[in-house]
Amino acid sequence: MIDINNIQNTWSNHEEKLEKSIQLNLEILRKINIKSARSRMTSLILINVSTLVFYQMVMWYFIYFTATHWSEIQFLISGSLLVTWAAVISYGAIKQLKLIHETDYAGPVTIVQKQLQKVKIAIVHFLRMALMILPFHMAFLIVISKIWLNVDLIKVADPVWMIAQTLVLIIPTIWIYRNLSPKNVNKKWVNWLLQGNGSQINEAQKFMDEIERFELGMA
Amino acid sequence: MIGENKGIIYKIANAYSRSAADQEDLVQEIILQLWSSFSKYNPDYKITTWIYRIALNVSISHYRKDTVRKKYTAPLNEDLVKFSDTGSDDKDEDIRLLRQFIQELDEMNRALMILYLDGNSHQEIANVLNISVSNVGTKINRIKERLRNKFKQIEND
Repeated sequence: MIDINNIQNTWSNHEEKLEKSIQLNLEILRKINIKSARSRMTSLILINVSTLVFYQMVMWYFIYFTATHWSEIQFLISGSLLVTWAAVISYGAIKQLKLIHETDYAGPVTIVQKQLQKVKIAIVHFLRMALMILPFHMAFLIVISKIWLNVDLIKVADPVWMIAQTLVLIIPTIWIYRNLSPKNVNKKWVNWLLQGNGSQINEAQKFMDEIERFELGMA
Repeated sequence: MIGENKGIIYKIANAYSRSAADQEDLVQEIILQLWSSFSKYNPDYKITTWIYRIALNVSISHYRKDTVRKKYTAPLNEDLVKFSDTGSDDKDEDIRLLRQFIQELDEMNRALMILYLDGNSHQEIANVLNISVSNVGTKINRIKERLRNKFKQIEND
């Protein structure tokens, strides 16, 4: 039976045995082109890059629309709202890419692991930002009807209906914003919004909590 | 540098692997990460601190199947690492029990225990993990107590 005061010796026997069983061909390392290995993109980076490219295109298109219709107040306000929305999402993607790029595996274990979990959890924050457009969807309709149908919705639609559309969605948006958090990813509706990625985010959140307890000496 | 410290890499990979094939992949990933990060090595830190940090971070990510980690590594066409069966001896049962116990710990406590078993000082462990020295001491005592109870239980069975 292992002597608890001698476990470090047992451990070094383990090392000895491992060294005998593993052959390392360091010659291969010299042949590796590290640059090509480093440039491999994961789906996570790809998602963020595509989000950034898409929302930048959207943002610049709305900037162009706003600039060309600035004399009409309804288009100026609606266009500016959509520009802000696309800019906020682009900023989120840039922040995410920065976090991935800055992850240095030579950093202290608790810090690096928390950073990696944050990258995973960030999708929830993305979604929250994207859903902020809900009460302002009328701005989207105003701009789209002008672009596609050349119709000024303000002039043809019932203003009461338009205001009601905005007001009706304010409370659900606030509720969603408050409840759509990493702590609630195991709820069905949150998981549905996250397209089934809820369990992965849940795991990341749990691990994050575990690391925090570990740092505080509770685990 | 890798050749001199391969023991650290093997032990960490072994503690965070689910199978022999998994272990081969993990050793390879750690080595590639060390190789690609060497240009950023800060000589203010001990080389072993740097190796422990990278090996533990890559291993924990591998264990948790993190995808971010893969941005740094690509599969190799040739085998950098090969395993062979060296047979068993009398020490094997003790090693098996200790390894089993370590694998039952959560990822962070497992890292702490590996660092302790490798004979690192509390200060060194605190540097690798970024926790306080007193926290290191408390945790080691707690884990050793659990280990003692576990071995007692096995003895009684």
